[in-house]
Amino acid sequence: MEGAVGHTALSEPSGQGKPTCQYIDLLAERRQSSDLRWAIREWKSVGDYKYGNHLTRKEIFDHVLQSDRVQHTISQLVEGGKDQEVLINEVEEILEQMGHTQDISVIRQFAFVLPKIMKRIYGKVMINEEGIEKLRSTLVETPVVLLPTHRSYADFLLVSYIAYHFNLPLPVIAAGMDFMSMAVIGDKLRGSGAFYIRRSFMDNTLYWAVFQEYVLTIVECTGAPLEFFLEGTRSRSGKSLPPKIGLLGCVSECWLRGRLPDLAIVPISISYERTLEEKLYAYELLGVPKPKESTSGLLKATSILKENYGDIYITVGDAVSVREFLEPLVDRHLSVATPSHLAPLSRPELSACESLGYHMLRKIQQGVVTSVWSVMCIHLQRVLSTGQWSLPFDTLVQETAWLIDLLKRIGAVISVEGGVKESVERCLEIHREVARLGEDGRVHIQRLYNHSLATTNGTKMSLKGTSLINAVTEQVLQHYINKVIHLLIRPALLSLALISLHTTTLEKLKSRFEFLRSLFGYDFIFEKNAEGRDFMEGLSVMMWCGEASLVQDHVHLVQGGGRFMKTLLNVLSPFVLAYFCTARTLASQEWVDNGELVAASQLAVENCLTPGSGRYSALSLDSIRHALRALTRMGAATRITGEDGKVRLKPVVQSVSSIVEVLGHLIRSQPLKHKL
Amino acid sequence: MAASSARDRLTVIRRHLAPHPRDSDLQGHGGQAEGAAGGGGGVQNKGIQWQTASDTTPPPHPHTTIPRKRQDLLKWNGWGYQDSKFLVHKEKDKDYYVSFTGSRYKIGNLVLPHFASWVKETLGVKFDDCTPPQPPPQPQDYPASIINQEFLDEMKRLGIEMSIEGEDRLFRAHGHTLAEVFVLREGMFPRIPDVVVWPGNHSEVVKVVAAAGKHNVALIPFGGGTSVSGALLCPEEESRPIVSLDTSQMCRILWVDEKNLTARIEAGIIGQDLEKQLQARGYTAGHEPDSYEFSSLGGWVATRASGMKKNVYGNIEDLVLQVRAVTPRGTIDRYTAGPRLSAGPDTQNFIMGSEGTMGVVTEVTLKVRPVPSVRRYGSVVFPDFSSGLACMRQVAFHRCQPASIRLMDNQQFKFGHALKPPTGLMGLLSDGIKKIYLTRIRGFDLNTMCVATLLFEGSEQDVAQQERRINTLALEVGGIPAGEANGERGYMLTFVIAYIRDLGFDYGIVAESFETSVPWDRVATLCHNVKHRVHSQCQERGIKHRFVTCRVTQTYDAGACVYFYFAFNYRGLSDPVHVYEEIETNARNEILGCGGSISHHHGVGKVRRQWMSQTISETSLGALRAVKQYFDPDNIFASGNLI
Repeated sequence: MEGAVGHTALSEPSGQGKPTCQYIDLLAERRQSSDLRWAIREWKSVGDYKYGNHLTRKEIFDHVLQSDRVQHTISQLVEGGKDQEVLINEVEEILEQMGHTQDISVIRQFAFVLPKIMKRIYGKVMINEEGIEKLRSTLVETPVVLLPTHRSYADFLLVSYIAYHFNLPLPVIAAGMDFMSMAVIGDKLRGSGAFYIRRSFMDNTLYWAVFQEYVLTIVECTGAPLEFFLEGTRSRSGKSLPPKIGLLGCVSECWLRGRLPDLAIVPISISYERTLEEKLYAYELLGVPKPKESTSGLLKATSILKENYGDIYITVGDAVSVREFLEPLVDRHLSVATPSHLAPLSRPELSACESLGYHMLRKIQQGVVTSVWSVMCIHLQRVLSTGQWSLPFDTLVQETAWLIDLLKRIGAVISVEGGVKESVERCLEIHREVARLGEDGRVHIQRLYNHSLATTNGTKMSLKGTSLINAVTEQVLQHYINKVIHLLIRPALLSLALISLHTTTLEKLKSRFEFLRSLFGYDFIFEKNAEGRDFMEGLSVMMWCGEASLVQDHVHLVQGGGRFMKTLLNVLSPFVLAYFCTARTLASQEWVDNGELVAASQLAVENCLTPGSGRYSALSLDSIRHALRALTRMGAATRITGEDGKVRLKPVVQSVSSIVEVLGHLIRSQPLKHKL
Repeated sequence: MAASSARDRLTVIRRHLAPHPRDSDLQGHGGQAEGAAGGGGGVQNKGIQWQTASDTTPPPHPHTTIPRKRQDLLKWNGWGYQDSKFLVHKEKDKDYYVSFTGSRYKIGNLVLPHFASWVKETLGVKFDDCTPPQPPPQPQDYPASIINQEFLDEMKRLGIEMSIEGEDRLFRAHGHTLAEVFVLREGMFPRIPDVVVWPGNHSEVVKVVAAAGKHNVALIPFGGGTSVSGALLCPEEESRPIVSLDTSQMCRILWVDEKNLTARIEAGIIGQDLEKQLQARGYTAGHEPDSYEFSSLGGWVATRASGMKKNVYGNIEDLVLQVRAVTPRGTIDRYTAGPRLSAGPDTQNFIMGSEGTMGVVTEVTLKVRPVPSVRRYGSVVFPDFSSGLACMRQVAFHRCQPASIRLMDNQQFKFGHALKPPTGLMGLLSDGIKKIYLTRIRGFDLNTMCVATLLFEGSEQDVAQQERRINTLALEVGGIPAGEANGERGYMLTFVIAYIRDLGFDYGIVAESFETSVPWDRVATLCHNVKHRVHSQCQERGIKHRFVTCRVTQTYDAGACVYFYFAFNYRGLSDPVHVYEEIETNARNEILGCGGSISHHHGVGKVRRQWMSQTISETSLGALRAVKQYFDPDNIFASGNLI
């Protein structure tokens, strides 16, 4: 590090007139001063909610126990024959297990350790300072919910660390129960403000009531910022996951039931240049189960301390007002005459919360800083699809520079330091495990498959060894492509629609686009009720780059599709293949077991692949599951409960075969080498 | 009056003199009595002691405080009496100071030494920057009158007084919302009534309404003109002539029935006249809305008004036994004066709250009470609003409300102090001691504390007992009794605060109030959320100086009435009225979202019509429309209020 303060200005898309964002490096100062002094410095938060009250753990517990909702639930259960004492004990146990403490000394321990680790494995940790100051002024005015992306375990403490760094009020973090059992770490996380929730408890009314009141108490009474992951879990694929509405609905209730005047939701986009878990994710997506969270597992992972994980970019986005977003969508007056604990969210209210969730994910995506590596991966994947494992360095630089330029113009914020060439070199250094520059001046893509990792985790992989050799590398590449795919998806789906229809009317194109948008709606995040906007966005990008033209209500493909369109179709092709195979598998018979169906679909994908054809990332179980959800939602299959009480998935012949036909047509209209 | 012969009148008088008036005779009672009162024959009545009380029949031309030419006594472009207003003074080399003129109010002819600095600090007022209102309009400035000559001829033939003078028409073209007063000061209404008529009694109203139907002219009833819902505004799209039906000449107390403690009263009487006349006989109606100096009985009925002392006397719907109203279809009447009725849905409720859309109220039988022997103010201070609210809840829970109990928030508490007159040395001393006691010894924070004002009425014994009860409840939540003077000033402010707005206009401040009713469990969040919403809306619009305050003004078993004041400095904004309306719309949305109602007593009028569908279901609204269709198929009462 040469400069004391690492200010970097990232140019935002040109022509939109937005000011450039200033990012500063959190580690710059830490590299020059004592971590201990940093950890024991005088610390006081600035920016606490002006109407917040400090509540102790005990006071929060009492507040929850005494709440109308919990008391009502207890009395309902007592009527059902349960013992009141037992129930109250149960509430206390739930609270004991759930409850967070916020102990500045624990925070200080992290403040001491984290910079040490970060300095070792990361280059810079960049954050937009302006976003922090906006957040601070929002925090004073209204309770805040922080929604960071979830791509890595590292997300967990990052936001708290940022709060410590900038003297912001420390967040209270909703964490999954699996962390709690981790020795030492589980308690430390609790001490730094994490509270633990079970993974599924919808059928446990008492737990649900306690959980809701716990969250409401934090938001309404203490006014401490609440942090949770909208996507529910770490996204293995690198894409945004569909939002989980449970917690979001719960906090929205504060406004929906008139308990708070407003609630601010702040998107936080954390962009890792290299994900700590990149290989684990690849195996997991291919079918190797995730290892249980444990401290020893974490210690084993200390090998990561020897590696270079590049930079992290963190964008704290503008707050979204829950009131402003939800007010046009809901009728609060319909529920106000019922005591609020007896008025669960109505269907339109839940639907509005879901819209809010999708809206927030879009906001989060807009804050993502794209790394040059993601752009490079698009080309590396294309190279693999031609059966090659290497390409000239200069070609890679040219292709990357071309696409970076395009991406910037359609709204990407890309962290290019120096020239593109230097950035590409730097990325190859960081990701040398995946692709490295040989002495022959060519970039060699590496085969990542590690036999021992695939088998030591116990369960057998269903995939063949030959598939895995290609698949792991491609899955890792796909992970990084996915980090930029939200920028490409609208023009990509438009291209897919256009290539299958050639010249067509605007209306037909739009309806095909909407069909695809709906079909791929779980893999890619679209805002609800924004079909028209998404279509126009996709069309205008393709028209702007000269690969589609609109003449008198007819859209034409210019010269059979240009370089950009080919790139886009290439990016989509693994998804199209996965969806096609899944739909065809679903159509083939009645399925008793969802797991079997997923496995059979994966096998069908595998049978379509030949070495040297690429598209191995179509084996991703993630996409197959998403495809099934979408197909079911679109009426390609119905769920029926059999006499044995088991739920079966029964294909609806007509609609599933029409979907199979469209997907098959899409595959045939692309220059792909598949055994169909 | 043509109907009542001398013999009829004598029968009526005999009945009044009889020891046991029969209920069954009440049919048509009012109309005949009115004949006796207003008949102009008068000779038979003279000197007859027809009631046990010492007074005589109502005079044929009763004295009204407010003359027919209202502009002679009242401001034409602002609130209240011409002689009562806030004035800003500057002496050489000294700061600005404010005083209140006239001797009608306790604050009158006094310098208010703290007020100027409060205004400067809170609202950023610059006293050098004064925008006086426009001068009164010239005759040519008024919108041209759409004349229906046949209607005018018929009025003349019937001997009903009328006017087409601009001043008279303008005065009845508006109520007192911010937007209306702003137009008076800086512009002109696109539409004002074309004619003003003054029917003198029920039967003249019947004739006016019939003539309106016959000649297809629109009617808008006018009582005291204190509406704050846009109810008096003429719909711009109305192409027919609009006639303002001014009820102010129907202002007699027709009779007082001391056996049953009821009185038959013409609906045009204004509150202060009603009270003066009843109190002269030893009675009170006890209905005191904040506008009661000017608002009329008919207006109260037509808007479902609420009085400050409703805890003792009830709101208007509790006070009214019989309502007589004229609709184009005919007269609405209830013949019995029995204290309660089980006879289907109460058709009088079609009129109560109908806001001039169904017809016009002409006579009302009200309950009256003997004037209480003791009337005493009181006050309690609380460390913060939530403890004050807890006390209000307890008082309502135990149903031990005094005649009035109001809780003001911290902002309003400070505002009240800013309006304190100068105090002598002793006053200063005792004020200082009080302050030290509260802040140093009791640990009150001047920036959170708030005050509840109390009004007790009853016998000495009752009042003393009530005081003890309230004080006990207040102490339980950390309140401290704070004496009579604070309480009295609180209630006086209620009447004076309306005058402040006119002063504010001169210096770039717009101000308005709005109110709601809300269940107990939501009072605190509603107050907080609405104030927050108003502040954040101001912030969004770049309004730096603003004053948002609320008070809980009424308590009920199931909830309370909350009253908000909102003022802001509009220097630098191009359209303050529009900005205000946008913010109030936001505030009302917040109120409804927090469980509050569309209105507790101001009514709906035109400015709150958009929230009716969030108040009652489509079917209920349909029923209202159907009733309107029945009473008034040709939409003669075309004010366009409510639905």
